[in-house]
Amino acid sequence: MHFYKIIQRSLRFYWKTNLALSLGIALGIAIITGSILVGNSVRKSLEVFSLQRVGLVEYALETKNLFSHSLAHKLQKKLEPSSSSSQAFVTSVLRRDSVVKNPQLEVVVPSVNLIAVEENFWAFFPDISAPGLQGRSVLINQALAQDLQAKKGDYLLLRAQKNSSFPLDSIFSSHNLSNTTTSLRVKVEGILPNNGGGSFSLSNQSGIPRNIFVSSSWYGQVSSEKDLANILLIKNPLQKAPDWEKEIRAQLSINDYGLEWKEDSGSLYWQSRDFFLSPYYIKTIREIATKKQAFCQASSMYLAKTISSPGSQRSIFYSVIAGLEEKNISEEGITINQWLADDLKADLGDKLQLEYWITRPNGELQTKNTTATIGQIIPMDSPTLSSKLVPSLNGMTDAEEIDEWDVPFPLDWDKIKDRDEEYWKQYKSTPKAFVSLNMARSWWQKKPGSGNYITTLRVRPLEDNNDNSKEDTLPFIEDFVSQVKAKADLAESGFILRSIKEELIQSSQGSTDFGGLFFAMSFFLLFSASILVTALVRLSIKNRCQQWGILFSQGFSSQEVRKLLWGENLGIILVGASTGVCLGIFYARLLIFWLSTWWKGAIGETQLALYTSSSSLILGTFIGVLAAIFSLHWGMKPLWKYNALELLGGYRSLQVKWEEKKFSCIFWLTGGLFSLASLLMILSLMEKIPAILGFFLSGSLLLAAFLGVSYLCLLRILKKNVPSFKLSRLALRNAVLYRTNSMLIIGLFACACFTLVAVASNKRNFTQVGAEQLPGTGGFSIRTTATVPLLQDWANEKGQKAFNFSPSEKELLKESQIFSCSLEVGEDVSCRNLAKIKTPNILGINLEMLEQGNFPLQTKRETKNWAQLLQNKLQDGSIPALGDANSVQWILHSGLEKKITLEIAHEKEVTLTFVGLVPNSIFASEVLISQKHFKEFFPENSFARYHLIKTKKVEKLTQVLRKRLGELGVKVETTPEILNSFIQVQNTYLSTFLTLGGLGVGLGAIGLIIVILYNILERKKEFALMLALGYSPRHFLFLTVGEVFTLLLVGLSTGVLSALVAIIPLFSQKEIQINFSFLGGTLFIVILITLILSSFFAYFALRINSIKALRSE
Amino acid sequence: MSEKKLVLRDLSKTYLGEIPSEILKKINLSIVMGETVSILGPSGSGKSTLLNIIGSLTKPSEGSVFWGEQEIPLLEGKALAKYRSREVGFVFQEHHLLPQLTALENTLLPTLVQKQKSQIKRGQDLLDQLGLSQKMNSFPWQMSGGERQRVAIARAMINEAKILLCDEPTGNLDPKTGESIVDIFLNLAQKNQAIVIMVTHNERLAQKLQRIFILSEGSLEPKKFS
Repeated sequence: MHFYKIIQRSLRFYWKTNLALSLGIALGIAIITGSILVGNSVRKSLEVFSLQRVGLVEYALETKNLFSHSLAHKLQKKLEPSSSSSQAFVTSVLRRDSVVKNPQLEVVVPSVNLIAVEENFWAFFPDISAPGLQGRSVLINQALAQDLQAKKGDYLLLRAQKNSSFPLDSIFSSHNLSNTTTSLRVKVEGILPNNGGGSFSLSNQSGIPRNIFVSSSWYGQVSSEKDLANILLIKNPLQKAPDWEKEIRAQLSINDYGLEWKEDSGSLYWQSRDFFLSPYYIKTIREIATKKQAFCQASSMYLAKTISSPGSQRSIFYSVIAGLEEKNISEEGITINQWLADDLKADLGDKLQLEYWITRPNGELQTKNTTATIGQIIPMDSPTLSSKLVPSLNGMTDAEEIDEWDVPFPLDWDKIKDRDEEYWKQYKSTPKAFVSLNMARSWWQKKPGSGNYITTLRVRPLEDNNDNSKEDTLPFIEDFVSQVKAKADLAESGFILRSIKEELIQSSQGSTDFGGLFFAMSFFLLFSASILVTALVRLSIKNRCQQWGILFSQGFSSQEVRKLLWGENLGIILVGASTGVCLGIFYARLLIFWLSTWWKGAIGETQLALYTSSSSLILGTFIGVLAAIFSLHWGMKPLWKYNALELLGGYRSLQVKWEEKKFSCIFWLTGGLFSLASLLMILSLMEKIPAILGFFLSGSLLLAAFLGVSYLCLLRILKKNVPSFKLSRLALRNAVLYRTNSMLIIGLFACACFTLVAVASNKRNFTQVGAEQLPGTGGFSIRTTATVPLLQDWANEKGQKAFNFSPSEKELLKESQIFSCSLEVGEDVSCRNLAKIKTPNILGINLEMLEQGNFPLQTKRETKNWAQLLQNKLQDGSIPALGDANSVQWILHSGLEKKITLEIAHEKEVTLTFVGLVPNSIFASEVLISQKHFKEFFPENSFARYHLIKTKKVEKLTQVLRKRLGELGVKVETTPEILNSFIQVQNTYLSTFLTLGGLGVGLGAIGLIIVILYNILERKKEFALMLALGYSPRHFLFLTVGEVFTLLLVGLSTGVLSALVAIIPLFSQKEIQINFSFLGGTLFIVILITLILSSFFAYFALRINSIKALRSE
Repeated sequence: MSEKKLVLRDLSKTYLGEIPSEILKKINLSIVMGETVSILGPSGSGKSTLLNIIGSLTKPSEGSVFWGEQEIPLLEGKALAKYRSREVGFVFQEHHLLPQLTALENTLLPTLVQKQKSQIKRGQDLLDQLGLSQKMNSFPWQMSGGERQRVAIARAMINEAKILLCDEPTGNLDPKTGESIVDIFLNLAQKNQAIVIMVTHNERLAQKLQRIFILSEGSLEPKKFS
């Protein structure tokens, strides 16, 4: 006979216990494997969904500016000349932020992506058989259709942003919505599913974008953005993939780079489509000019409202002037042309007054004055004078007469004289006067060393200062242009070439580790399974202890007995592992189902599917097996403390040996825990430590202390010599006999109750509470966010007039405090976004607003002055920033005084240091920097898109704002609503934790029942004897149910009492929702089910043949 | 070569508790190979304790047990396991068979330790001699009390142990069965020249052995025949 035979026989003979052990192990492995699978599935789902929505796109060229569709055509033709539309590997798209309205139902959806596509766009999504888009037919995706409650054939109203050639904060930028947005009526031709191209987006954000697809040719016509695109989509052609950057550069024209050049009288005038030339191109053009020994002169055009000569008391209005890089013009000097000199009857040395407008941050125009002394008067035929000095200004430079000007600044037509019109007819926008570049810079409100303000670079061959014909200078011009093109830089021109697939795969790794999260949340299930395994092993060991005694007495050494035991365990583990893997897949499926339904708040709109991989299953099994080995080892530990004789005596002799030694240890330890808990409570009351932390820790310590007391009581009962015999004592004695199991079960129920109460108490609902009572709102009641820049600030009178606020509505606004901030839209930094953050939302914060608000600020710095904290760069060169405490910690994985490097608008990297955090705030979606730093990074984005409002009439004002601004794509939310949307994720996690914790409690109850059943079956002889002595069935019910009830009661009361201490600080927080009915209900159901089942098993145990039981061995 | 002897020298055992109780008091005994000894005494007199000490299942408080030159209470680990498996055969009152093994497998249990050669033939012979040839593949719950006790005897003798310890081997059996089992047992023991020490209440059975002792109040005295 061999060892394996004993193992095999033992496995079969004790199949019930072994099966229960295997199931316990299977459960543990299932939980671990399931959690790992869920984590992988979330990542994979994000990845799959992200990749599906870009179809076959591998690279994307994005730009803030616009380029011609011909770029895509040229690339396509060059690399695959014979390919058809369906085989296209390059296409261009115009994407715009837009707002869509269903006029029939008055439903408005902001933040919609308008995607103007060419026919070959659909070649990138072969699974979509999209109908050809013509005219005003559009396709929308399912998510948008649901939001709008729209169907095929419905008409929708669409408002989309247009590019502006001018800086938005300049006097030349139109703030008229009809000039800055395109409004269209469109018809729904079809609804695309959310999977795949219907949710096309190059953003890393999780969730389903709202998309509307239009024909680019039609859209170009109606929006005056004809033939223009801002995204190039690329997939590799069938042959070897080319160097895309090189190919794109080869096909881009100088205009595509945003540069324009004009020739006039032998001079080359360089300008930018962005209005201002970038420092890179200024430097490049200057360098080429120097190399070619050419003359290069910078200028910056502006408009003077009036130029007056106090001497002659003459004024002229609305004159084009320019700052000029000219050494003859002093800082306070001015050079005028002869025409102006004649008009003003001015001469050299005369002082002139210039009146001009600047734009205030709130969009209002402010008039400013300056004085300059005439240093030079130049003739009208001077080569300096050219209308080409001035970039194209739609509505102005293309007008035939001043009367035809269509400009955003106010004109008093009465001031325009015939002579002015004459000048315009003859010289168009040729500047009438020139000042120093520094003076021009101040008009544009740019500080030295920051911000662009040069509008033109004039280049001329040096050897000849006279006018030359175009033919003479053509070779020079051609060569110069080609040299500039050769040095043109994609990034400097705002082009970003992204490897889309790689990026999306990386970002889909996500910032929240769902695997770890669910493992942590399933902790109680795992704990319960481990306890079950340990309890069963101990029962098994005790009930078979005579066998181990026999083996020892027959000469088996400890190693040989261990070999037999672990041989059996191996069999149990193998069965448990294989079952556990299957259960794990089922558990993961269940979690995925719950995440997609009941717990949808945790994942938002991310579409989840289960993805299994062998590595996940192997890893889960491996960890589960390790946990099982630990549980089995811990369960078998008592065996080695006894000698052969003690084991032969049976489990009832294995009692007192080591408890007495441990009694005093546990006694002193329990005392220590009580003392520490009391100390923590005192420190919390004295505010020496945060109240929530103090009470939670003291509650936890109390829990451990109460468990210690329970154990001491059991030992005390064991030790005490009980003179009288009562049935209740008998019930208690059984609990004492199996005291380790009793403690395991008490501990499990206590911990589960503690967690249930403590966790459930943290659920919050902010909508029941006013904003002024929520620290995270800073006292502000309403927030508005413009998804499409409005270019008028509705916070001021001008804006209110533009948006048709009625007088009573204006009064309402006057009674409120409104603060404006700038917002650069990137990725949501809150826990609602599952993807990894690369380019976050950045808020340029209004410091006055922070000072007026009473946000609770966490900072390690001595000062709590917002301006001091945020205004200046830190010594290490990083930018000071603020953030929401949860977002910074859990999503950005950063913290107070920690640095983080982020990409700003897919371009620059910037290092921020969080100098302050605001807990549970309305800023959870953004990273906050000062307005000053915001302007440095986003000079063209200076218009307020974000407003916070303090008002007493919250409901009324919310209604008014929604009415006036909702259709323009402005989201109006109360701050409690905002906090609720963030806390929904947290509440969902809490619900998840509670559900899984509840399952853990349930499993603990099952464990208890199994232990009781085991007890009952094992004590058949004892019960049979008692029956023979005249005990009735109700006595047995009392014995079994009484034991169960006692254990439950001790466990539950210990847990609840400790938890109530832990949550003392929360009672003062009004938004806390303690769902006592849920808690009470859960615990009641657990107790009830446990009692019913144990009664059932007790009844079952009574149906025994007494004689057989008495006689059986 | 001198015969190996089993010698008990000033053997004492005290049980600690609230009131310590000295259950064995300076017991001295010498048994040569082939001798059979029975120990009589009232319940709680320490008979089983004495057997347990000789069988190395517990240790004396004072004094020692010698098997030849080996001092048994000092044995540990492999030496202890070897003594138990090779030198001692224990027959308990409650037989203590493993319920998951057949009669033959229970008999062969001691042969698994310390890499011993398979003794299947010997096991079968022993069971045959004990009248259990039809029950070799039966499990303990398929056998009567007497049959189980015979399996326990076979197990004790499988390794040709030189010291056979029997603790009330017929305690759970009827007198007739008990006697026949003791006869078989003594017969087998004699063939191996094994020392037999049997604890019993039954004077009739005790008289089948060569020497009879009374254990009373901790002392071991030879029985005086009237």
